[in-house]
Parts: sequence; structure tokens; C-alpha cells
Amino acid sequence: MSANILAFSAVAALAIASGIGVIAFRNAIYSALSLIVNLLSLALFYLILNGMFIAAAQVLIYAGAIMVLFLFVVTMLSSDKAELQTSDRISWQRLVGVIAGIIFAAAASFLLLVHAQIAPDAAAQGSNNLFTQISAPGSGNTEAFGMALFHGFLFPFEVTSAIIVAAILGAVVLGRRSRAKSED
Amino acid sequence: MSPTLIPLSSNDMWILSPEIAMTALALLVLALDFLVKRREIIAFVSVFGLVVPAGLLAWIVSTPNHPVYGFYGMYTIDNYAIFFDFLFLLIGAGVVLASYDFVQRYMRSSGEFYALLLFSLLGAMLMASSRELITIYIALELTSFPLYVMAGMLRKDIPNDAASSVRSTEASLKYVLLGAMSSAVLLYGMALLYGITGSTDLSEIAVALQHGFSGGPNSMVLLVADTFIFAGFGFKISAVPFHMWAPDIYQGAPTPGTLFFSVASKAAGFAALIRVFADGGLLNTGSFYLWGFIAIAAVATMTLGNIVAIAQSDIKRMMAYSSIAQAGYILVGFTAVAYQPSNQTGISGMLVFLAVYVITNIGAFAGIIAFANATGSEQLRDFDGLFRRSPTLAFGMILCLMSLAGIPPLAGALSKIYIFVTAWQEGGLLPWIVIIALINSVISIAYYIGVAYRIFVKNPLREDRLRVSAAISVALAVSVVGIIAATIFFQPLLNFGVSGAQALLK
Repeated sequence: MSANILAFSAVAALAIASGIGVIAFRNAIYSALSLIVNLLSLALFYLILNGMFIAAAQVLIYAGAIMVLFLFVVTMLSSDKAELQTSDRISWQRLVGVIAGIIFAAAASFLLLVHAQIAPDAAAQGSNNLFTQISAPGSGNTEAFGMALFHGFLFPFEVTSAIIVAAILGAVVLGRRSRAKSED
Repeated sequence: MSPTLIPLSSNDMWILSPEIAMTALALLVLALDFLVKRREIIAFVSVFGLVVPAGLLAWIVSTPNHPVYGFYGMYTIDNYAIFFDFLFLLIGAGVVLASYDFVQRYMRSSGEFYALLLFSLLGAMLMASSRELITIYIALELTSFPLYVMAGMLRKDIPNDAASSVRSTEASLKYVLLGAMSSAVLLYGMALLYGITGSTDLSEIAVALQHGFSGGPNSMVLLVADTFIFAGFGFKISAVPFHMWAPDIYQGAPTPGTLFFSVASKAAGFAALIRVFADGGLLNTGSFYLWGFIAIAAVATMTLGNIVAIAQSDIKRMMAYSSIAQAGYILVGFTAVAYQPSNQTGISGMLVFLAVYVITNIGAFAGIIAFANATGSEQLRDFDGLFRRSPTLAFGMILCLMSLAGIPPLAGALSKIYIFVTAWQEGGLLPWIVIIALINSVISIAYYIGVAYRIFVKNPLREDRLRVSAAISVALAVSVVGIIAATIFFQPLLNFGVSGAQALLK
């Protein structure tokens, strides 16, 4: 258990440090990069909680796909190259980078090697409701996740599709608006 | 672990049919916008299409022993949900009618506006029907996303206000950012609640809080969860101290959008707030701190709303503070419920007050929109002498404002008295809160009467008569008839509210 607390503290420190980095860096690219670290440390949290599938999805979708989009936008918007270079001179940056890297590597390797197992809280015990079984803690593997998503939680999952339609519609409306304005 | 699969039955689909019809209607309106460019047809379909979900709802209600729960208890169509569903359908019809001309003049993508409105109402209906935290959150986002877009849809400046389309964009951005923050706070509260109870299902949360939770009613983690959830919904209902967004966004958004925020967002927020706190058993923990927090929020909300409203010169800002104050009166009812969780009259009072508020606010805003269409102004000083320029518009608006102020014998007064009497009877500290509420009611008369004074007594700056289009006249007439009907048939409305409250507290 103490090893778990150690792992948790290390990842938590990393998450907080990278979270501060997102808002503290003056250069948008560094903010985006520390957001990646933040998202990766969240993935480690999911691993500590035995949520293998969620952790993988977090890395693939957030750290992979969404952050690449972020970086594209940031690099396209910040055409001011001088701005990018001046903020490279933070003296303590490398030191912090090395420390964060060590913490991250230690946490990741620990989890991979030891396969941390935290006994989930027994809060949901005693209920044989299907709903509770599916949403019970510790059922973070892919099968349970798929079961929850396409059976127990099918309803909110389907409602999400309406949100996506509404959001696309909104993006079209607002996007077209700005283009029409520039034509005026 | 492989749990036994219980397949969905046709009953699940049947009780979901009003929402399915609503989705189909929203998609139909969206498709019509591409196919036919005639605005009349799109608006016509948007209003009369609402008959289909309303009819399905009425069909389900009229079937004896109709199924109440579906989707593993996540979705319900009890009397509480039915009360709100009808209210949301009424909002849809009222806002489409009131917005018809304004949308044409100042907002070019009219079909999208109606489609967004219908999607938002779909989310609101789901918020009233959901009995599970994740579903409630998803429904809340479905309600909110279209609102963020609506706030930024003003394309042409209102004639007398050169910066209005810039302010609309600003309002949209502010709304997105603050909305995202409030969602995060709400989710944090929900996550803590799930952490305590091990379930996201409201009835299981209620059981767990009663039997399985060792922390006691005043444990810090439960209080933080309560407070965060209240804060998340408090943003939607614009309760102080989570009201900061309302004046700027109400003022910046196109007026039909403002109307929609002031009724739909508020009604949906209260629907989910009451559902989570009552069905989830949060009120039953008997925490004095929770009660105190709600009481302070209620007092602060009505006092700040009413006092700041007096100083406004823009009528939309004034209505924003007025709507904050009205939320405060509803929270007085919630304070009574938090004091005595089995208090059915408290919840029914909140429901009825909300229904009357919605009907009245649609009328008041229809008047403001009609005025903006005709004169291009939303400043209070331009309302001077409106009576001589358009007597019917003046009378319609005044009736709505008087009902909002709670002047007897209008429905607004009856619902307000009902809430106050309910709270008074609880005893304890509640009579003091009611006294503050009464003082607030008196203060509120100042600015409502102020508008009436301008409209009837002051001399108009211009003498030309105002033309009011047919659609807005219908919206205003429906609202006025609604207020009068709610005044005369207050008892049936109250019975409807009581049946909703009973469904929640059984």
C-alpha cells in the first residue's frame, strides 16, 4: 500500500507541476507541451486505479490526437518567431525538465513492473443491481468498459450524439458568421 | 465479471418517445433550412412540430399504469418530469413566436437558431427526466452548448447600439468559458458524491447516504460535494454568488436568446437541482450547514438582484437582475424544502412559481423584442410614452411586469404568496427569510413600477405609432392569456405541481 501512496504522490506532484506549467509558461507551445505531461499523468492515475482501457484511451485520444491539434493551432497562430526564441532562455527549465522526466519515468516503470493494485473501496458491495455491478470500481478493463458503455450506460452514450450534432451546428453557425463579416 | 444482460424493451423506447420526437423535429428543422429557404415554413414547422412530442407525452400520461422508469432506472417519466416537459414545450413555442421577426432582421441564420433552440429544449427535457448523475451531466451540456452559440448569433448591429454585435461575440465567449468552469465544478461535486456512495444512480445514492455512509451529515467531503453540485446548478439558475455571467451575457446576446436563457436555462437548472437534491437524498442527511448555505444563497440572490436592478438603464440588464431576484424567491422555497425534506408544498410551490415565471417572462421579453424591432433600441429611456405609441403592447408588457412584481391578484402574486406561506409555516429561522423576501418584493416594485411610469406617464420622445408583427402579438397574447388563466385556474396548476412534488418525494 505504501508503494501505491508513493506512486500516487509522485504522479500527483507531476500533475500539479505540469498543470501550473500550462498557465505559467509565457510561450504557448510550452504550455501545450506541459498540458501533454499533465494528460499523461492523468493516464497514470487511471492506471493506478486499474483503469487500463481508460488510460490507453487517454494517451491515444488526448495526448495523441487532441494535443496534436492544439499544437497545430498554436504554431499556426504564433508566427512571431522572436517570441518563441526569447522564452527559451529560462535557466531553470532544463533542471525542472530532468526532474519531471525522472518522476514520470519512475512512476511509469513502477506501474508497469509492479502492476499496482489498490483494493477498491467496498462502497458498492452488496448491491446486485446490474447498474452497480457495471459501474463498480475496479472494473476498468476493456470488457467491463465496453459493457458499461453499450449496455448499462447506453442511454447517456446515445445522448452524447445529440450534443455532437448541436456542437457541430454551433461551430458552423459561428464559423460562417466570422467569414461573412470579413467579406463585408 | 460478466453481468447478465437485461435487454432494453419496447417500453423503454415508448416512454422516451417524446424526446425521440424532439430530436427528429430538431433534425427536420435543420434539414428544412437547407432545402427550403422560406423562413415562414421553418418557423411554422418549429412551432407546430412541438405538437408531436406534446401529443406523445399526453398519450403516455393518459395511459393508465404507464411505465415510469426506463433504461435501468436512468430515465423516468414521473409527474415531476411531465410537469417540466410541458413547461419546456411551452417555452419552445413561445420563444419561436417571439423571436420570429428579430431573427430575420438581426440574425441571418434563422433555421439554425430554431434547430439549436430545439436541441437545447431536448437537453432540458432530459435533465428533468434523468435519475443518474452522468446522464444529468450529459443532458446539461446538451442544454448549454446551443445557448453558448445563441449568445453569439447577432450579426447586424441593433440600430441605436453600434457595438452590439461585438458585445454579442464577447457574451458568447464569456458564456462558453464560464459555462465550462461551472461544468467542471459540478463534475467535481458529482465525482465526490460517487466516491462517497459508489454509485451514480440517484436512488442508490439516497440509500447509500442513509445506510452505508459513515461520515455523518456534516462530514466535510459530503458538504463539499453538496456545495459543488449546488454551485454547478447555481450557475444555470444564476443564483448569487454564481450570477456574475448573467447581466453581461443577457445584455450582449440577441434578445430572443436572452429570453431563452432567462426561461429555459433557469427552468432546466432548477429541474435538475431539485431532482438531484431530493431524489439523491442529499437533503435527507439533515445537515444544518447545507441548509445554511442554501438559505444564504437565497437571501443574497434576491437582495442583490432587486437592489442592483433599480440602477439599470438597459432594459435587458434590468431583466437580468430581475430574473436573478426571481431565482432568489424560488430558492426561498428550496430553503423550506432543505429545512424539512418531506415538505411537498415547498417543491410544488417552486414548480408553480417557475411555471408562472416562465409564462410571464416570455410575455415581458416579447414586448421588449417587439419594441426593439420597431424602434431599434433596448434602452429604458426610449420606453417613455410607449402607451401613446402602441397601447396594446404597453398593456401586455405592463401586465407581465406587474405579475413579475407580484401585484395581486395576478398569478405571480399567488405563486409568490404560496411559496412564502409554505416557508413561513416551517418555523425556525424561516420566517426571518420570508420577511427579507417580503422586503425584497417591495423593493422590486420600485423598478417594475419605474417601467410602468415611463410607459404610461412620461411624454414620448417620438409620436409615431409602433407596428407590432403578428407573430409577436401572438406570443404576447398567449402569455397574457396564460397569466390570466394561471390566475383564475391557480388551483388546477397547483394540483399539477403537487402531483409533480409527490412523484419526487415518494
